[in-house]
Amino acid sequence: MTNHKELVTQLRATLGKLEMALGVINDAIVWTDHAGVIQWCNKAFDIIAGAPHIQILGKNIERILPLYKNKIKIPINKNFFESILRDPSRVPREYRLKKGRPIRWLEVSIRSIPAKKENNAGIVIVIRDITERKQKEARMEQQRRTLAYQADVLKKIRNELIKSSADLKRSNKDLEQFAYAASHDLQEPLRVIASYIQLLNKRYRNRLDKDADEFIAYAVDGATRLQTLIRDLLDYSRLNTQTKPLESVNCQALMKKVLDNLKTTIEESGANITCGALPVITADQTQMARLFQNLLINAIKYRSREPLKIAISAQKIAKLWKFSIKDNGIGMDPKHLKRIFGVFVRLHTINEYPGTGIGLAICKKIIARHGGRIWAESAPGQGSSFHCTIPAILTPRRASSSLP
Amino acid sequence: MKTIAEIKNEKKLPAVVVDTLGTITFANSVFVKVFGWKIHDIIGKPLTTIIPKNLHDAHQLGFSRFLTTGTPTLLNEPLKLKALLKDGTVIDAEHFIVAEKINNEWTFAATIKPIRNRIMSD
Repeated sequence: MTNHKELVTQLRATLGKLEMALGVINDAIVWTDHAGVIQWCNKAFDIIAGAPHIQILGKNIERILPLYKNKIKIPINKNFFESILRDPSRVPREYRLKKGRPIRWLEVSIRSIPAKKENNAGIVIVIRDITERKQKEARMEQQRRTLAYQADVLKKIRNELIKSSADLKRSNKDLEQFAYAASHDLQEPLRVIASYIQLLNKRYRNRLDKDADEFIAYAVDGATRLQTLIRDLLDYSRLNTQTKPLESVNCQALMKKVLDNLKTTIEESGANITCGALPVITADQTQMARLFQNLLINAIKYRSREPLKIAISAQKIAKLWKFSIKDNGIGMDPKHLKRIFGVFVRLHTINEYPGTGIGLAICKKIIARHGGRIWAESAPGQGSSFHCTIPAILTPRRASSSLP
Repeated sequence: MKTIAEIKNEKKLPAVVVDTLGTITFANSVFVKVFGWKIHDIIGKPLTTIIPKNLHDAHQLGFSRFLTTGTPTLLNEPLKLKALLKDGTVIDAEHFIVAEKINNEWTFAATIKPIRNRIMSD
């Protein structure tokens, strides 16, 4: 093989490899002369142009690739290329290709190919299809807008809730203060009424007729009950206003004290009371004593003919302590299990069982203040179980000083 | 499908033969007459002599790719391509190109039939 032939063969081999390499890359490459006439392009360009290779060669690139920027068609001519050569950095990089459907987004880089002979100089254009990226950006922008809108809506809702919560707290505080003031101020006139009725009873009993005696007895009874009601209401309304700071409370020792206080009542009922291990918790000691006392009084009061048994226990469940007081008393219809915690709610007449019906309402308020929950389980003739939960670790923030 | 020998014997259409280096080795009398080239202008010269200048790069790369891969993209089918007359006029012509291995080297032959409209000078 001659030197010339060998050289040409080697050059052909190199060119062949170069052609193949340029043919497999994803970016489209095309080179033109300074007027935009296509002199060569790779396979990726054929695809973007949507025409056979043979039909693209020799054509002006403006005919093959209609590019738009801001909806204006870009004239790809000598002026266009001259402006690029003057300042390549000012050329917009992103274009829309409006050739058939769907529309594609292209990132375009344009460089001049310098050469010693002007005839050999030209322009190389590299085109990357960024349609997918643009679509992703558009989707992300849409998501961002949606999220921003939702965040805005949530912010408005949050502000409304904060306002409503503040309004509710104010309203509850007003109600508490009203209940306290009303019950407090009612006490004095009621005391006067009750005193004079009792004076009447003392001075004129058996000196008036039988009807008068009966009327006076009813009036005394009514005044006494009203005094009890007012006192209990005052008591209830004080639960959040006259609180003590939370402290470490040994429930075992506290329960022993409560049982000692109720010793006479327990002995009279003949109740057999068992008490499991009770924990140390953080609470208002006075209110916890009141809670235990009210639940025990109820268990004793609503006993059946059977010998009374009361079981007191505590169980750790996750981050809560669950206290339970279970009795074998008369029980109640499950349909009442929620309303019994209401203020002045009674399931029996005053003649059947004494009391104003405030005891469980007080228990509920105490537990709510401690961030817990109280509920009952019962069935007629099957006794009742009262359960309440208190967080094992209580911070002053968790205990509320206002109504739940 | 035409053979190189058949194209060489072509009497009605302009025909040329090119070797593996891309050099014109044969042109029939019809080609000389229609395209205006003298035989000594083109025999032994690169095929790009009769191709418009702005298609030289595409020709060189495509030709080299075929020699490297052996996979044709333009052979054995009529193709509308540009051709260059002696006077510099660029015309459209229907090309039919075939390739054969002779003595283990590629040889190419083509008939080049001008299509009616003449276009601008190169």
